This record gives sequence, C-alpha cells and structure tokens, in this order.
Amino acid sequence: MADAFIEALSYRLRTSGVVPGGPAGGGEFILQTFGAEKVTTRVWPSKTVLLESDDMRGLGGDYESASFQGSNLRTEGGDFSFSGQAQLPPDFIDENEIPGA
Amino acid sequence: MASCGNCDLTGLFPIEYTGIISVSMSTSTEVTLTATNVVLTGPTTGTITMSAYPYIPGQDRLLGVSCPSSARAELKWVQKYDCFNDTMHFFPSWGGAASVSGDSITGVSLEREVVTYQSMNADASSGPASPYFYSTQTDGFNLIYTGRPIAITSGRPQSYNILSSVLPANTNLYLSSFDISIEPPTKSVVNYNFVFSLT
Repeated sequence: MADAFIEALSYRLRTSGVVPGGPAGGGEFILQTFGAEKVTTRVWPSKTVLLESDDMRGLGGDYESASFQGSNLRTEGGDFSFSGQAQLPPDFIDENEIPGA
Repeated sequence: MASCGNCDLTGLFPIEYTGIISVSMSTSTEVTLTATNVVLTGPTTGTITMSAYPYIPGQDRLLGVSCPSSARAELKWVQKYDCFNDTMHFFPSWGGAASVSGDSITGVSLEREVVTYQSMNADASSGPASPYFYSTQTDGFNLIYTGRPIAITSGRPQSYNILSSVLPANTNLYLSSFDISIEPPTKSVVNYNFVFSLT
C-alpha cells in the first residue's frame, strides 16, 4: 500500500466571459464555451520516494506539476513519509462529458 | 499489600525527592492511518504531573500566609522532531506568564509584575456558613520559587533528570507549568507538570 495514490478529477469550462444576449435590457446572457478540460490529480497521503525530474512533462514524464512536503512520521518499514500531489496534463473533452452538465 | 508483579507500595516508589504526594505519567505516540491504508508513526511524547508538600516536617506548613494564597507559572517549550535522528528537541521559549494571588508566600516572588487587581473566591458547597475571600492578584512574568522539593525560575526554563528509575536513561523532563496553593489552616500543595519525549 505504500506509495498508493488516489485520483481526483476536476473539470474546467473553456469559455470567454458572459455576454448580453436577446433584446437590449432583457436580462438574458450567453455563455460561449469552447470545450472543457478534464484534469487528473494524483494525491499521495504517504509516499516514500519522491518524484524525479524525468517524471515531469518535458523531461519524458507525465506530470505537469507536483508538490510534496515531508512530515515527522515514518512508515512501518522505517521510511520517511511525504505527502503531496501531482497533476497530469488536462484532457480536452466536450462540455457534455462534464458530469452534471 | 506486598509487591505483586509490577505493583508496589507507593511509599516505596523510587523518586529523588521527599514529600511527594502523587506522580502520574501519560504518554502517547503520534499514529496516523492514511486513506491509502498506510500506518505512519511519529514520536512518543508524554507528560508527568507531580504534586508534593512544599515543606518538611517541623517547617511552617502554610509558608507564612494566613489567607488562601497561590502562585502559578507557565513555561513554554517549542518541540521539534528530528526525523533523521529520531530525536525530539525541546527549545525554551520565553514569555510564559506567571501570577501570584493572596498573601506573600515564603520562597515565592514575581520578578516582573505587570498588573495587579482584586480577585475573589466564594464556595458554598460545604454550606452557607463557609467563608469567602477577596484577594489581590498580580500577573506578570518570571516567577521564582526557592522552596522544595524543586526550586524553579520560570523565566529560565530548564530540564530535569528525575524519575530515572522509571524513565529510560538520559530522559530529560522539561518543566511546563508550576503552581503552589495554600489553603489555611489545612494544607499547602505544590504541583509540577513536565513534558518529555521517549524518542
């Protein structure tokens, strides 16, 4: 179980600002979207080996960003424990694929 | 009751001081179970509470006071765990508050007095004829206690190497709070609280 991670998904609409629509002063607005992004974030509550440079995008790896911090806790095997998360590059999806959309 | 296993008479409890009324120890280890079912453990730390008589037989057991009086002090420590060496460090932190209340207690002084005001205490649990008291309290810093069993200067936090027969060798105890309470004509008690680490 050591170094197991949890995947969290987040979604972001690709959109410009809200613009007025319909008759002037009618109180209607239009939100124009251009697809959506699905972002996968891997969360490690405990990780004994930190990511390395070549785990990052551009150096042969998959991750776009990562952040870890050490703790004063150790695993049962006596290893240092870090907690943190790393983000994969977004997948571009259709707006309709966003849950609840 | 004779000795049985890990029990013995409290009168035979091995401690470096006399006049001890009670000593109790409480310890815990920082343990966490992560969402990915990993058990993580941290340092083991604890507290020791000790109460004692602040006099020896033949001495003034009320330490010169005739009204209910007390004094207390807080001593601050910053705890930092060195996970590389599995050692907990205790750093003294200045600014622990102290106060004295009531009459002037022999062997107790407040080096830096800041605020003085009137306080009171009324307790009818023993009946409506129980007396109630007004007293003067002074808050400040750096309480000095020259009495027994352990003299302290709260403005200079320090460690103690006591209870060596109970704790692992070279375990330092860091005094975290102190108070002395005198309730004429019956009793006077001094209490010490220590923090320590077993890692």
